[in-house]
Amino acid sequence: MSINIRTRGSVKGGVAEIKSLIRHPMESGARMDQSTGKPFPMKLIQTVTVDVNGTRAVDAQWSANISTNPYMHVNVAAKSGDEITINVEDNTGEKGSETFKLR
Amino acid sequence: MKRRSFLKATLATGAATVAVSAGLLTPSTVLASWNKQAFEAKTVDDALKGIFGTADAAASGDVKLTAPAIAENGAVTPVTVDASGMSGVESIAIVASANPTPLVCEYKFSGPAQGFVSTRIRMGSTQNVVAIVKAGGKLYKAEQEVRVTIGGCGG
Repeated sequence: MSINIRTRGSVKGGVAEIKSLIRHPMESGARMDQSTGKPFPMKLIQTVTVDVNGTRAVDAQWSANISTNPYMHVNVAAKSGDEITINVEDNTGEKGSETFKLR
Repeated sequence: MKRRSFLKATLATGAATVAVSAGLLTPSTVLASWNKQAFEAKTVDDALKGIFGTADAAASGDVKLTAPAIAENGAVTPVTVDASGMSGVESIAIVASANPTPLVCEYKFSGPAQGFVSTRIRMGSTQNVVAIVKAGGKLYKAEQEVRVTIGGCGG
């Protein structure tokens, strides 16, 4: 199973707005399951990268302070036809990757 | 001849695998290791020191922080940091000063990226959200109080 990433890129002038919505619980490991008395296990996206035509543009680290089903919007200098790749990895080693071409 | 070229190919693949596991070859999808110390820090200063080596940041009007004055839902508070008007932006960090572990995220920018990020964060209580921008080797910040009526840490 891999982490699902939905993406939207729009080019305005020489800048592309890269937006993503990732399906992920972002569980801190501190939240208690009231029915079992034990904490929900930690499941947290920790690293996120955005590449433009294979060149690293954004290198991010996240914590449990990022909301469930994380939304992210970054801007990169890019044009129509450029390829954007988003990679994520969580603490359990589960990964997600999405590549798309800017229109 | 065939056997030799077959063995050569096997050895080459083997060598590449050993090189990757030895850390010599880094596939482009290998991501940076998570800064545990900074993310587990319990104070804003310790979090910033963990990321930047210092907590000294000058308040700056060039760091444009957008966050609601009152968060409808503390679990999903939209925050935008726009430092695209500054030159030499290397990274942006967001800190929720009263959360148990204040560091929210760190974004490093390179190549074509602009100094800008918009995201949604969890806020456990009314507190200041602080945006720290590293540009030209120095730290700059902007902060704003966000009032939270419904807490965002699952409690």
